[in-house]
Amino acid sequence: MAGHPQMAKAAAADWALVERFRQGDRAAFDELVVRYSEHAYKLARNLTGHQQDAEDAAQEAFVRIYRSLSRFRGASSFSTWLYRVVVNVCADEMKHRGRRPIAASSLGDSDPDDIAPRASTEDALNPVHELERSQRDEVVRKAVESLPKHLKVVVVLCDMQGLSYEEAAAVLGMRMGTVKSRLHRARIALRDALEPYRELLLA
Amino acid sequence: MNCRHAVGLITEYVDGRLKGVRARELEEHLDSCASCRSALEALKAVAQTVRSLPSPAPPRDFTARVIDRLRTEPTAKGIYARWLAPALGAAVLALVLAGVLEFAQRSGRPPALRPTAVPQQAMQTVKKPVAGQIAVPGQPPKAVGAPIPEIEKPAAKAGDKTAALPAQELDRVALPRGMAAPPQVGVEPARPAKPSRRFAFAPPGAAPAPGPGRESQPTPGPPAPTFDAAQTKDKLNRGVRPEAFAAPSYATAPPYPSAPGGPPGATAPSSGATPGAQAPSMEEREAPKPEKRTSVLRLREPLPIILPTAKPFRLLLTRSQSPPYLAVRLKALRRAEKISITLIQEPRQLPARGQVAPTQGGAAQLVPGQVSQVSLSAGEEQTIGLASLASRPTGGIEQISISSPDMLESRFLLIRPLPSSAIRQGLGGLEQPAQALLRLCSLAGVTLLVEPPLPYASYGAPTAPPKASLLFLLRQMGYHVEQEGNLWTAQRPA
Repeated sequence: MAGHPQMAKAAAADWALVERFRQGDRAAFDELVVRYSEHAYKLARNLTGHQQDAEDAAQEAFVRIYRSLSRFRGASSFSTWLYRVVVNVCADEMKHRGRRPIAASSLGDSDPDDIAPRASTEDALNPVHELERSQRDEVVRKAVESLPKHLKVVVVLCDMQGLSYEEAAAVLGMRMGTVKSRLHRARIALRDALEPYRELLLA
Repeated sequence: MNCRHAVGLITEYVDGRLKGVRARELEEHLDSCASCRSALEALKAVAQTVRSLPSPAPPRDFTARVIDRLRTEPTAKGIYARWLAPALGAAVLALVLAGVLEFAQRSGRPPALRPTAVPQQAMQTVKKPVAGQIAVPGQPPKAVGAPIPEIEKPAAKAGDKTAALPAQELDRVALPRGMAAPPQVGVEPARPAKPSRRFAFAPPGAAPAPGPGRESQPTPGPPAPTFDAAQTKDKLNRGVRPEAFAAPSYATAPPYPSAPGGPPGATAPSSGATPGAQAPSMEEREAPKPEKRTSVLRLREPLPIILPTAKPFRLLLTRSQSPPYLAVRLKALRRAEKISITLIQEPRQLPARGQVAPTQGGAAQLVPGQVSQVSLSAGEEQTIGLASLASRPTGGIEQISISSPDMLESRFLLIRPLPSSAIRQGLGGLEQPAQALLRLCSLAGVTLLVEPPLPYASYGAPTAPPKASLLFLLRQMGYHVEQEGNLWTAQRPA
């Protein structure tokens, strides 16, 4: 994560905030929350597939980190650590709740802020295009949802969150080779799952 | 390079991570091997598709809520300062006291303090801070969001001035033509200051008729301040503006209740609707007369129905064949709410109590003719459902009346048709409530935000996009619809 100069800069800034927090400055942690809440939420959302669960998980991750920040040794960057905690919280959450029926997990999701805004106004005006696109997104999302957990988390981190192999490996605590091979297997599984929708995807 | 080896490198190649010799080797192989080429294309397409998925953004107040939640946690230093330090101090004190006593006893001199009393004190000293501090993390978190300046409860007159006329009109207007008038219901939107009375309502017909006599009755509780409609409206306006709509897209919207001609809340009730006047019908509104209470309907994608509950309102739902199901989700957007909900069915439907059942995930059950109360803390959301999947009513009216105790606080409820399997059948689930709400809001002169139930793709095979249907509906009702980014504005030309 430190490879990229900007990332290194961000990591250093995070560190400074962590330090300030340790000195008793609460606002420093707020700043970290402001920086990372959206990332944490999106990761949780992509992992759980459910808005409320994502909110709970991301919040819980921040609480856990808040409580244990004094033990943070800085072996990884703050964001890596946060992602790791989010992944763990989500895993606990999923274990806890078992399999949520699809009606509750996907149909119940209609928060006004739920869907990222679309830039193209032209498409937004055209219900048919929009329909196709949201159908496509939904199909892909469901395919990702249906992946086995250990593959899904890699796809979410690498392809949806945009982490590099190295970062994903750091978050998951596994070797980079493992990340690569799982990503490969996940994509093959996705290809197979999406095969019936080929026309929709090409549209 | 063989195919097996090549396939193993495709992922890295697609991600731009294969460099140098290995990349060249793979490319050479791809040139000569059609099957690996197609595998590459397919996996590349998969990766691109997944990467292009829009990531759902967190709710706009999410960060604030996390920060609020963390406020209930002691800081790293705070843990020491607030808990450990007093506990340690007390323990040290206790030890010292115990030591003094011990010493005093051993030395054979009568202790200055009574020996029994002192250890007790010491114990207490030790215990108190510990117990007190342990409780801290368990304290309920503070209310989310910035506190809103309290607005005085209106006197009973308030409603009479501001809400009575529209509400009365509504009773008539929302009725389908040709239908008998619904039973007089006790939910009287015109009386915001007497919630208890309203909540005491039960079956249709049982309510006391509104009349000037009631005003003379003593209002329970502290005397209500004198009420000035315009002033309260003004407060309301100020109270609800940007805080209520924290999202940027909302913030750009004119404040509720927004109308080009000035604060419509103050003007709406007096705009032409006199008690004796005929209730405006749909036709009348399609040929609008120059009136001040222009309703503005703002649509956003996706679009929440946000009803300002500054006034109590009734939601009249006309059910035809579909939907056989309707539910609303209520969310207290700003602060704790206690909301009373009454469902009234037309008398001939009333005996069929079995028609109403809690919906999936529904927290509260509505029983026809009875008041259900729902308490929501700020930000909490509940689903209130009425489902009649077993037996479909073939017409009739359902009235849902939702009211909160103190009406003039600037509160917003989020009411949205619940996504349900029933809605898959079509858009009836959206149109009917939307239509009723539109009528209601155009009469009351309020701003309304409407949401289709769900991104329609979730239904699998939708019949038509809700938005299109909603737009159609709006245009039919004479609204001029404009779109700007994610914000759709529907406005009836004055």
